[in-house]
Amino acid sequence: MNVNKNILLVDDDTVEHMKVSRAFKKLNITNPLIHKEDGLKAKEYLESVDELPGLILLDLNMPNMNGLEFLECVKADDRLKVIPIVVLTTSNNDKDRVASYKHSVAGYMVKPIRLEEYERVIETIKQYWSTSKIAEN
Amino acid sequence: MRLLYFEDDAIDQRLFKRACKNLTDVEFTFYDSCLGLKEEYINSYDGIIIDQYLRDCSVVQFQDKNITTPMAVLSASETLQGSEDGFLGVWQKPIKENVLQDILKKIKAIHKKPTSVVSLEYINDLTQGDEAEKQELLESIYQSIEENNQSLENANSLAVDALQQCLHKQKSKVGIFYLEELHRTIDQAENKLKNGEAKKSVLPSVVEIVKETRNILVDLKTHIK
Repeated sequence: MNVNKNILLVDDDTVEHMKVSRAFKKLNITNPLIHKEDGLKAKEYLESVDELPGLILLDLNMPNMNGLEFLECVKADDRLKVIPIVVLTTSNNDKDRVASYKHSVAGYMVKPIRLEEYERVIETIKQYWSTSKIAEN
Repeated sequence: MRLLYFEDDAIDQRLFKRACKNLTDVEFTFYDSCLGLKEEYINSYDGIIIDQYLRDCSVVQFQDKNITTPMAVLSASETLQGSEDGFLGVWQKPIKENVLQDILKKIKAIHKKPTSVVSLEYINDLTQGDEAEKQELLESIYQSIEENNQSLENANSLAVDALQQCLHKQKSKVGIFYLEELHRTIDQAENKLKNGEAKKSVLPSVVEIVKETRNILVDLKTHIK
């Protein structure tokens, strides 16, 4: 994906972290993957780093601060709101989808069950964000 | 579902195509002869629908091959001929849509896997042969599914949000084991709650989910050393 910027994964499920790491490895995505277990930890991380990630992969159902609450915080922050955020969730609910797009997400991907389809989703994200130019701070 | 259809009579072929024109989840490959087809090619299909007497091969001869795919036989004769041994059955031509649906149901039933059998394909791929990691992962998932199931057993006393969260967590976990039907059932219940439907509307599904999950836990336990 874009140069070698970090990619931030926000997901409380350790298996999801493993799945994304595995898919990155298989697809030769070399960007460092930073993992935070909920929105609150992700927000704290973003506020503490000078170099922002090139992309955020965000789950919606999480404890402490869920994905939509995280989106609200990030999109209200001038420094953080330029980071493209792709929602990666098991929810195919219309309400979640609409709410996410209302917060200007860059994409909404439903996590497929099958590993090969999961990898295809990551591959799609990779291809798009390898081509698209991001807003540098 | 992918099916093979053998028929050498052009009119019967047309009638069959008419009977299956509304089917969306079935893909037919048509042949008027079974000569030259390899067994492994035939066995790669989910089912076979075959005319009893093809010009170059009768069903009995066809059956002599090492065919493991379920086979439904069509016959023009009013008095059904031929052995039903090893066949799904013998149906009379011309085939009608409702009869075809029955045949398809029988074929589907054969391929339907019990939902309580877990697949470790995903876990194996994730852990890449690291047995210790695999066991650790299995144990942690087992524990998580068990805890969620205990909460779901008390669905009546859970607040809607808590029930929805439980269903959501359970959905992710069962997905790891490719339990797609159960995954779908949980997803539907979760969506109902998200869409504001009353809790009581999902309780019958939750009972089923809990029951099915108990079977999964039994099966999963056998993989934990």
